[in-house]
Amino acid sequence: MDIEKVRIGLLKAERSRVPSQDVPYAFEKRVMAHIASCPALESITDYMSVLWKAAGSCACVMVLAFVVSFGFQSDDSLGNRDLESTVFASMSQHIEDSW
Amino acid sequence: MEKTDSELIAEVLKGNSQSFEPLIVRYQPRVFATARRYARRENEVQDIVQEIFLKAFQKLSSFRGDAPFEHWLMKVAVRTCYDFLRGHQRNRESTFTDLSDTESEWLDRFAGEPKNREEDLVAARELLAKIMDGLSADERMIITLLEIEERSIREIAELTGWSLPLVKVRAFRARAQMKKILKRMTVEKYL
Repeated sequence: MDIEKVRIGLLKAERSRVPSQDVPYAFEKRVMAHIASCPALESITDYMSVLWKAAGSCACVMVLAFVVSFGFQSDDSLGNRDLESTVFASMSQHIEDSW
Repeated sequence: MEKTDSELIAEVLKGNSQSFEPLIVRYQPRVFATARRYARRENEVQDIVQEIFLKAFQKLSSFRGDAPFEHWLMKVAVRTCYDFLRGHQRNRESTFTDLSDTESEWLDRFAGEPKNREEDLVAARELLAKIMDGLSADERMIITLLEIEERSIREIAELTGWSLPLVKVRAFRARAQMKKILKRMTVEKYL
């Protein structure tokens, strides 16, 4: 049996069937009733899109901070020393005072 | 005088959702016919059509108006039908023992002399439905669009959002898979 011929025969039979365009009575009312309950869904969608935009902005800021921190790494040692002396200033003062 | 699609869409986008109802009335026969290609149970067909119109309503702001509304709606329809197929993927491998007597007789008669008698057509369609149940959602979609609705590769690419090469590859695989299922059925029958 020629399988390809059988396959074409089956498809030809299906092609000759025109699907019905019948619509159930007042189907559009059913859809409109669902649409009427959509606003809640829409607001959730809007909220989600705002969240995604916020997440995108946060990711951009994170990448920017990452680039900046590594871009200025040569000055970082100086910055670290400044930070360290500022943080430990009060402590060293306190120790000196107690002695 | 009836309002045009563009007028109705503009009203919906302004917030008058009731203007969507004439659009549903205008296009629901065509959408029902499309959905009936992919689902056999009437309750499934109705659920698909409802989903299509709900999606169309929610995404209406993305309709740019450079093509007729009907084309845009058919894209939504085809993609929703594809989602349905993926959700209800049976992938049940039909065997010869699954065939009814009429389907088995159709294979016998077709092997002899194919005719277009109405009873033959019904048996052939039932047999095809069983073969389609054994296909994946992609394969079923492509066979329906390419071989049953006889759409072009370009049209299918536009409707589904797949690239042209992907449509061709999927069409090749779908045909091969159909033949494989059919071959297994006939081998079981005649050996």
